[in-house]
Amino acid sequence: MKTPEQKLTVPPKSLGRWLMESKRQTQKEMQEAYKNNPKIKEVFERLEAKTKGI
Amino acid sequence: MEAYSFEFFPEEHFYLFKTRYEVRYAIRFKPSFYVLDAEPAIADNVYELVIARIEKPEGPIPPDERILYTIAAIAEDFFKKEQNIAIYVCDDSDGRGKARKRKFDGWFVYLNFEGRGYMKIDQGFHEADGFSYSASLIFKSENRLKIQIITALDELADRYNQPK
Repeated sequence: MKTPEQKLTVPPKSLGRWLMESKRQTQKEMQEAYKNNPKIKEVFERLEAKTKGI
Repeated sequence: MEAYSFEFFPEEHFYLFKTRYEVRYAIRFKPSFYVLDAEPAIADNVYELVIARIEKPEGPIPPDERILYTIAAIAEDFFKKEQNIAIYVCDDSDGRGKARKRKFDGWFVYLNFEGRGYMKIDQGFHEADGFSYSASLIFKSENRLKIQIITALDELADRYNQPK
């Protein structure tokens, strides 16, 4: 279920289910972004270097 | 205890950090202006806290308290904009909602968020189809709209809670 970030004109029947689905969808999108966006891996490399530098 | 280094990644609007056990996390405050039916000064500043473990090694991972401190540090960064409101929803669809809620409440106390100028209000929801969950709003205690924020959450509960 796609949960677009827009003002709800019609309230969902179950807000809880809607919010839960939205949360799972977001988590999935974050995982996908991590897999597909090499810039995120660069961030982790930077963080790694910072940790080793301490 | 020291938080892990983290970085905001503006392209995807999330924060990233990695633990000493090679677990990678992304934290997003997702714009959720559609949740509260309130004036724009409130509704437009509501963000849902979403925590995603985006990579982990095989096998068991030891408990790691530094994750808590890191999420707290990230929250501090998020609340630099003082009007921001974070909503956190504890799912109870698998019957573990109460445990999640206890854990979340424990974090709030343990990290002394109240002492650091934050307020948390909780609301339990029991909807007509039997779905139960709890939602918490966290905001700066000096937020000049706090009464309206509390009222907006009460109204949301009135709209969705099934009368007994």
